Order: sequence, then structure tokens, then C-alpha cells
Amino acid sequence: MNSGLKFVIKRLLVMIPLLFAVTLASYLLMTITPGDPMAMYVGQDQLRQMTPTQKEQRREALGLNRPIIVRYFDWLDDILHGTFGTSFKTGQPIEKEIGQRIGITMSLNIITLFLTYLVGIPLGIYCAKHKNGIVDNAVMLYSYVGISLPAFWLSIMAITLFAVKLKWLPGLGLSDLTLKNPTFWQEVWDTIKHLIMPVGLTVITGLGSMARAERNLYLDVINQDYVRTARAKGLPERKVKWGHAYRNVMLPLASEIGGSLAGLIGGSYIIETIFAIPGLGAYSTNAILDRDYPVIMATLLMSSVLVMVGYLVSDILYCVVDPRIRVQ
Amino acid sequence: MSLLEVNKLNIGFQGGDGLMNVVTDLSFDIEEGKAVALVGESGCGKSVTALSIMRLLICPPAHMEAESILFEGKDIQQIPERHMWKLRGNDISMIFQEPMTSLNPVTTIGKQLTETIRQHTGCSKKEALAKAEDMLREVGIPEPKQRLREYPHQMSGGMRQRVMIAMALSCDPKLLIADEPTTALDVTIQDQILELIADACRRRKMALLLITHNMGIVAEAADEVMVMYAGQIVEKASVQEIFDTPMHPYTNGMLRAIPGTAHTGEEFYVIRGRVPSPLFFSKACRFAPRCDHACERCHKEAPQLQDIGGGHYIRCWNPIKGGNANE
Amino acid sequence: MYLFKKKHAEIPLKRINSAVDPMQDDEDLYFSAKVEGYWTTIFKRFCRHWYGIAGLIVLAALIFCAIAAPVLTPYEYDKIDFSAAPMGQPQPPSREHLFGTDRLGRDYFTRCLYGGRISLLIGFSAVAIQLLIGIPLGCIAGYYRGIADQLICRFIDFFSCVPSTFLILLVNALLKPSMFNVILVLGVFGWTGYTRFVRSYFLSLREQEFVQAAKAAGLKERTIVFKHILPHTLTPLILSVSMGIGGAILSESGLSYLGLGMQEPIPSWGAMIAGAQEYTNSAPWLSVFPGLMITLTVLSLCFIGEAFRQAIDPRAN
Repeated sequence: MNSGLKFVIKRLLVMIPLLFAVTLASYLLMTITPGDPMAMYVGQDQLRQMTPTQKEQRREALGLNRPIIVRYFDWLDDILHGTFGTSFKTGQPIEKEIGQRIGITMSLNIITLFLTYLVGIPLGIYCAKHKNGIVDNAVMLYSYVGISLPAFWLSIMAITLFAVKLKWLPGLGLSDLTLKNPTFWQEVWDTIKHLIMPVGLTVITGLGSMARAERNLYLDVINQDYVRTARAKGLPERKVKWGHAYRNVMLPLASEIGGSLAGLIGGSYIIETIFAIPGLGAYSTNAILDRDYPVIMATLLMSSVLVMVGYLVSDILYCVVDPRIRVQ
Repeated sequence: MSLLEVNKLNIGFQGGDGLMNVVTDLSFDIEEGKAVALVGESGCGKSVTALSIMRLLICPPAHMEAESILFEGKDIQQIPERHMWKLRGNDISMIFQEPMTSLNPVTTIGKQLTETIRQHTGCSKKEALAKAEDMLREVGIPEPKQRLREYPHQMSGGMRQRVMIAMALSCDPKLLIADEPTTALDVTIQDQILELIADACRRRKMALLLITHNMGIVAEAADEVMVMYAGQIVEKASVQEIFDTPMHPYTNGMLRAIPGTAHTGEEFYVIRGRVPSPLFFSKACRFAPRCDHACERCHKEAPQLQDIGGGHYIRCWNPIKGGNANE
Repeated sequence: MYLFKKKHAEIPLKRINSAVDPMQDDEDLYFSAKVEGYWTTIFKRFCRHWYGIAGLIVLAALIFCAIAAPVLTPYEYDKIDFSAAPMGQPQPPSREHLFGTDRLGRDYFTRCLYGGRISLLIGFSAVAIQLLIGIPLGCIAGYYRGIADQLICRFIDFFSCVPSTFLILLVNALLKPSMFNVILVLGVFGWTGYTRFVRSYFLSLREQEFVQAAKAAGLKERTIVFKHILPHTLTPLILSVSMGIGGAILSESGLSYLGLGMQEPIPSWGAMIAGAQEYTNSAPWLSVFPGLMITLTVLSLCFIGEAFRQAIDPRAN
């Protein structure tokens, strides 16, 4: 069998117990907290209107009298069938609310990641080629400024400046609801305008570190023996760079996509909340602030799944670009 | 006219507050089809010399300058960087010390071989592949067709060095520079690889600059020997002369330090001390502090490389008369 | 390898070829280069970078301000004074109030100083907890390997899949918000990086000759771990620690911003930004000052870390 495929399958197999652990952890965390677990199934308002006997009957019917382990497997079974229960706050089935939010969060993060790589890689290579030059030093300092700026503060400042004071960009949400019968292009332009700030700020703060990492990678690769070999055998500099240096610089990036994605998902909890973007991040944060337990359990699980998918994609990419794993 | 003529080559490294001179006024030439060995301890400037001939030193931090480096009468230093590729791999090839890291790990052997061939001959992909297959067969790699599709990590160190040799020979260069080609290999395959290189040179009437610290290898493969110490050539002679009558105390010491040449019961000979850092090169004879033979003059004045007859050159005030390695 | 020796010889680069008198050309000269202490060398190299020194000075100033806050300002951080904020309007910076006042008339400069206390305290103690958990686990996993390593690695895998921000937000929300809880949560959910770091160092170091030699010499395992391997790990760890403190300060401000961290009237930079949100347009200084304080603190920590990294990197000049 192809050893690359083997490698990916092996990674998948490692993930199954992890996923299991995540579900167990989120279930236990929620059941040890105060509150009637039945509210998860019938909604809090309905729960309040029920008489004690009704509650008891319902509890029996839902199987909530059974031991916690059994209930955990029930919950797991529900999830596998695609039902996450009902939100305390809205009374809506969670799976319905979560579906499109995941799409929004993922598209936002992928756009951000794409833009960061798009600008960061050439910038990093430029810095490496002009090592210790003005741009290189500036990027080094800039990368640390990027890490040091609190994302929520920067967002607030940007909204105040560009949305409230200058009125150049919309500050909140993803689309302008006042737009009447917009054409397709109007709609696209509207979305882009809404994305500039949340995406732009994340890209700007992450760009420096990305360029720094890329610079160090490039300096590593360019001093490798095989690059010298490529020169010694008479390849012109252009072919040395494109055929031998750049490709090896891209390798480690493939394995870091998963980590970057995890980082972006971690950042989306606050960014989405501030920009009122209806994504998974804001949904989770609000659920936590409202103590909406069924939603918290579902979002915790889904965020973890997203991160795992990110790592899996990394592994697959790594396999594709690095023959040392693919071919044994 | 010699194939390669190096005149007063100086190489330095930018470090801290000054330029460290690692190679000083190095001059030598290589005749067509001749095998010349450059011998010396690690750190004496052998490898940077080789790299500077190919203009592969990364400057800065390195800094090189020479009166002239003539290859077939043309000064390599005058060739603009963008035309250097025509020379590299085509007229002068190089084999490196580390076969494990000298091949690109993410590209197939075939790709790495054919890109050299196509670059210099401009032939089609198919022709290049056929040529690459022939080359692999020539350097003794079994099943060359299959090997072309493999990656470096699927091969042993010896195999990889064979691939490097195939790559270096693929465009029939006039000069092959082998920088410690066997140092990183198992003792058992060192001989095979060395023979392969020497054979290929003889068959193609190709000149060879063999860089090594191993005197045994020198005896097997070289016609002429240059002994280098602390960035200078200290003795230069034919291989017979060097082994029979080494004149410079350093050469003598090196030969005496080959295990097996000492008589039983005798204490194993070592040259005391170690190669000084380029920061501490003496103004007088650079070997004097470690020399058993040093006289007062050696500590005061720098000797020059001088002909003592029969193409035998030494840089020494007090050479060993009728020197014998096993005296 | 030279990290192992406390006395570390660095050949002073200033001496070039001609500086050596040929008359004194004896063997000793090559080797008797001035020997200075390892940490002296590191400190000298650290000082070559202006940002390292700037970071140290700023951080020292911030720590001093945090400690000496009661002396530096005549106001109290929670003293409500409506006369200093007429009609509940925050006042702009003035001679009496350097950073202005908030809507309750509290001196904003005082609150920023006291906010530094909270941030620095939380940053340093959270990382201390992370190190207390992370380093021993890393040592165990890297040195003993086997089942312990497997277990610890699975644990790390678990934490790398679950977004730690989520867990921190969540557990903080479930617990009663207090400084102690914030430190605890940040500490408990942030140690995996250090474990991974120490473990990977141990894995590579335990194969090195000097550890083998120590074993062959019959040293106790405890001696090997604490005297021969751990010191190597700690130096490069300082970079992660300085970045970690910065990260913890940022996390705390985020938590406080969401109302899950420090509670009124305790001044925390994050909570102050949250409180100033309705005034961003009319009284921008209320958001600007605490935000700048956070950035300055974290940035100085980053600069110290970077200069230190450069100082211990033997390749960098």
C-alpha cells in the first residue's frame, strides 16, 4: 500500500480516541455544573412551566434517571445522528444554528490564512535576501508589535476610527441589511467592505510573525548542501531558487497550516464577538457568557473537530509535498 | 598552457571586527589530465579553495581575491555571475563531502540528473533520461532505470555519492574537483568510490583536484601532491617525491602519523598541538610553533615557497635533509 | 555542548593575525584566550541589541510603577469623585489628572498604574504555574519515556485539539471571577508548550555522549537529570517564558474585557477598555491608555526574549 496513505490513516486513527476524549470532557464538564440537565432537551421556558410530575415523567422518558455513563452514550448517539439538543436561550435546535456559522468562521479563517501566506511568504523571502537590512529589521520589530497588540483593543480602535469617525467602512456584521434588492455585484462589494476590517486586522497582526518564520526557513534552506550542489552543477540562479530553494521552504509551511488554523480559531472568539460576525466564535462566546450549556457542549466539540480537520489537512499536504513520508 | 592556473589566491572571512585570512597567496596549476591532491588537516583552507575556484563561496561573509584564476587561459574572476553557470557542471564539476545532504531530498534522482544534462546540452527530456541512465550504469548503480524514479532518502550514502559522481561526470567536464569525497563514507566503500573517481578521470582524460586529509588516498589516486598548512602551500612535489623524500617537517609528520607505518613497539607519532585559528597565524613560519625542527630563524622570518629542484617546492628554513618518513 | 561548562571560552574576535607578536609564538597563545563566565558572555551579547536594553528598561519601569503605585500618585484607584467628572462626563488629560478621569471621576493614571499590578502579577504567576506543571512533566516524558511519555503526549494532543481560549473562557465563566481563579485557569491550561519543549530537548540530549558518559560514570539518575540535562534546557526556555508572560497578560486582558476576569472596582487594563467602549468616540483616551499599556508591557517582554534568543544563538553575531 502507498505509505503516504498509510501515514494519513494512522493519523486518522490517532484522532478517533482524541475526539472521544473531547466529547467525554465536554460532557463531564457540563454535567457537573449546576442546573437541570433536562433543560437541554426541552428548553428552559418549557421546563419552568412543567409540574413536578410532568418533569418526572419526562425525565423517565428521556432516560435522565439512568447513570451518567449511559446518558453520555445517549448524548453521543444523538450527536452521531446529528442532533445536539436545544439552545437554552433561543429554544432552537443547535445543529441548525451551528451549521451556517461554521461555514462563516471557516471561510473567514481560510481567507485570513490565505492572505497572510500570500503577503508573508514573499516578504519573508525578501527579508532573507536582504538579511539585517532596514526592511529585515523593521519586519522583526513589526512582528513583535503584531503579537503585542491586544486584538480586541485594536478592533475597537479600528471600528471607532474607520466606521464611526471616518465612516469609510461598516463596523459590524457581515452584510448591510438596509440594502434593498441588491444586484449580485453590489452584494459582493458589500461583503468585501464588511470583511476588510476583521480580516485585515488579523492579517496585519499575524503577518510579521509569518514573514519572520519564512525568513528563517529560507535562510536555513539556502545554506543547505543541496542548494550548493544545484549551483555547482551549473543551474542558473533562477532555477536554483525555484527548483531547489523555494520548494523546500514551502515544506514546513504545509505542516504549520494546522497550527495556524488552530490559532485563528482561538482568536475568532473575541474578534467575531466585537465585529458581531455570526460565526462559531461569537456563538461560543455568547453561549459561555449566557451559560447556555447545550450550545457550549456543541461548540466545544465542533471547534475541536475543526482544529483536528486543520491538523489532518496539514498532514495530507505534508504527505503530498514531502516524498520522505510518501515513499518509503 | 595549464588547464587551471591559480595565482595568489587570498580568501578571508568577515567576522566580528576584522577580516580573518584563511588562505594566503595560494598559487598552483593543474595540467590537463593530471590528478593533483591538495592535502592538509581540517581547517587549513582546502575546501574554501575548492569552492572559490567554482566561485561558490558565499560572499559575504567570505571574501576572495586573486591575481588571476585562469581556466583554459580565461580568468574566472572576470566572468559575470550570470554566465558562471556555463562553466559550472560543464567545464568544472564538483563532488562534495556529504552525500547525505548534497542531494535535494524532495526531488527524484532522475530529475536532479537530467536537469544538469538538459541545462548544458539543451537536449530533450527523453535523451537526457537515456543519458542519465547510462551515467548511473557507468558509476556502478544496479537497475539504473528504476533508480531514476527514486528519492535520495531511499539510497545509502555510498549510492548517493555514486549519484553525485554521475551528476558531476554527466557533461564531460575538463576538471573534476572532489572535496573529501570519501570522508563521510564507510571505510569499506571508500576504496570503491575513490577507484571509481580515479578510473573515470583516467578514461576521460579529465584533470582531478582531489582534496583530502588522508595520505593513503593520495598515494592511490594522485600524480602530484600539494601539502597545505594554515592557508599556505608548504610542500609541492610529485607523489613519489612526497612519499620517498618529504622535506617539510609537516609533511614528514603527516606521513609518520599514518597508522601502520610506524615500527612495532614504537610510540604512535602525533604532531603536537593543533592547527591555529586564522586569528593567530604567526607572522613568521606558521608551522614553527608545532615544529620539532624549528630553528631560531623559523620564529622570526616567514619562509617563501622555493624550488629545490625537480619540481619539488618547499616553504621551510630548516628542511629535513634526505627526509624519510620512517627515519 | 559548551553550555554544559559554566566557564566558556570565547576567543575575542578583536585579535587579528598581526596582533600576535611572533616572538611570543608559543603554543599556549592559541588556547589561553581570555575565559569569561558563560552568563557574562550572554549578558554582553544581549546588550548588543538596543531593543533588548529598551525592553529591560521599560519592563523595569513598569514593575517599579506597579510596586510604587501608592507613592507615585496622590489618588486612590477606587475613590469615586463626581466633582472630577461633572455630569458623569469623563475628563480629558490635564495637569491634575495626567490620563484624565473616567465617568466616576476616578483618576485614570492611578487606575492604569494599579492595572499594571494586576497584569504583571497575573502574567508572572500564571507562567510560574505553567512552568511548575510543564517542566517536571517534560522531564519525566523525555527522560523516562515509556508509558509515562505516552500518557503525557496524549494529554498534550488533547490540549492541542481543543482551543485553549475556549477552555479558558469556559472555566473562568463557570468559576467565580477572581484574580486567583484567572491565574489558576491560565496556568492550568497553558503548560503544554513548555512540556513539549522540555521533552524534545531531553529526547535529543539523552542520546548525547555527555549523558551517556555520566551514566557510564555511574551517576544517579537524579543527578543526571538535574545537573546535566535540565540546565541545557532552561536557557532556551527563557525565550518561551518571556513570550508566555506576554501571552498570559494578553489573555487576562481579553478575559477581563469579556467580563470574565477582574471585576469592578479592581482596575484591570482589559476591563478598563471594556468600560471605555461607550466613550471611544467622545473620550478616546479612556481606551487608548490601557491599550497602549498592554502593548508596551507585552512588547518589552517580546524584545527581551528576542535579544536573549540572539544572545544565546551561537550562530548570530
